[in-house]
Amino acid sequence: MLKFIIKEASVLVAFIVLGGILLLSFWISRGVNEGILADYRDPKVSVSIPGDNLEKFRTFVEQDKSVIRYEIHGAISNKTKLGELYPELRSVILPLEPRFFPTTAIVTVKDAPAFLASLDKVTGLADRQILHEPPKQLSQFLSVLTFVFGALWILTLALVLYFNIERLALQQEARWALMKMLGARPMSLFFPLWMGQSVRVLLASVSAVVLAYMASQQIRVLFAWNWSSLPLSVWFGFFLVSLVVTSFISYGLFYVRYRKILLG
Amino acid sequence: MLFEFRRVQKNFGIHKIFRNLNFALERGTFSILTGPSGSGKTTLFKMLCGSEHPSEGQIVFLGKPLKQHSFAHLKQIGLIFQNPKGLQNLSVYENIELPLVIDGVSAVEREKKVSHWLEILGLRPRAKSLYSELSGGEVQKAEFARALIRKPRLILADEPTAHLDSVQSDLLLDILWEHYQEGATVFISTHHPPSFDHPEIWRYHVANQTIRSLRPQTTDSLEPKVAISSEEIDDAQVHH
Repeated sequence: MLKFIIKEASVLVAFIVLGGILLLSFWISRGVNEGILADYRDPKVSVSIPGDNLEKFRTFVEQDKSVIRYEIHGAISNKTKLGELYPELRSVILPLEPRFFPTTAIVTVKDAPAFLASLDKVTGLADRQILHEPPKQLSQFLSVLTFVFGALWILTLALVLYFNIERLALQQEARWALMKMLGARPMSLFFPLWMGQSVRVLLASVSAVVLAYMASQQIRVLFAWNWSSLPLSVWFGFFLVSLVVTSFISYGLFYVRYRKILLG
Repeated sequence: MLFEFRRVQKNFGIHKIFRNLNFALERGTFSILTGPSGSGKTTLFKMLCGSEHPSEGQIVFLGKPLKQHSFAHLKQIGLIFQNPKGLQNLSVYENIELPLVIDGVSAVEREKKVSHWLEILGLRPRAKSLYSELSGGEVQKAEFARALIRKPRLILADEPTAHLDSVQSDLLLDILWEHYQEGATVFISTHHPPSFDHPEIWRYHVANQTIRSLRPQTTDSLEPKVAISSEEIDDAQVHH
């Protein structure tokens, strides 16, 4: 019996820690998606435009369906920016006439290769290049990480419930056998057991939420991140999912165990 | 037909308990199964109530394979096992009223029925005693009361009088007989054949992986209520 209690306590601690990590992972994934990825969600293309082709280019980007938005930077603006970017060369750059600097555009598009293919058909544009592609891999990595922690969390929950039911089955075997012999519905035995398990899982979930909250506060201070906390709906969603998953897993485990009990 | 065993075989490892057994139990019969210890009486009872499954063959209860019945079908059966199964940490009263609690019977009705059984079986003074404090005979009587308190339509009793003296045994058998006369089907196993007799009682003997009828059919009015099935019979089957 002591073995069971130790096992139960161990997996319960693992369940709390994994629940906390799952929430943290979700918080980071959400923060990255809403923060860094929001700025770089779409590909950006820079285009160098000779002065006499500006109107032609403007007409093109206005009509191209792939374009989300664009900004045009004139020759003087580029000259100033270059001077600010390389202060050591400012004395060389400033005396140069604006005609030595191109007019450029930063175009945010939905599909960079398709936009570039269309752009190739427009003659007279000196140069173009993709500035960046959205960091989809980072987003995917964070989603996979959250999924893995979610799967581990459910597995740990199943273990918590399994060890608990095994211990109770050992304690209650005579009672279950008699009740089964008397034709009692499994639900009448399952309900009190489910109540106990639900309270235990709910308390563990609260602990996981507190752990995740405290860890997120520390991370914010440590990395100077200004992401907002997870909304209350996420916390309550976590409790709800815990309870629903607990109900399904424990009924499945209980039913399998109850079927094995011999009559009388 | 209440129960039907169709070509049932039961093995425990290499040890064969029953081989190719065809056996049918009809409603409204009073049957006594005798046989030496280890012959398979208890196994037969366990198979009847579904706690043991045949190694081969099929058991049919009320026209449907036993496996397809839910646990609820056990409510129709009063089971009395050889070894007491009551809950040690409950009193005699609480153990006896358990089936009624499961059925959701009111407390007043429960008290009435439990008191009736306590009175009949002489357990009134022990009503509040824990099961663990009772003698073997008292436990057996309490088990008996619990099995019959619902007035089940089928009573399966495995050695119900094993721990009782002859007076108490006769009392319990009389009660079973009353239930039979009220329409219940009674099936008892024992290795001490009861002393009382009646032409309506069907006696069977289990030995050598087979069940034999010890009572030949004597009159037309006494139709066999426990019968073999129509399938071919070999040495391992029931013989009339």
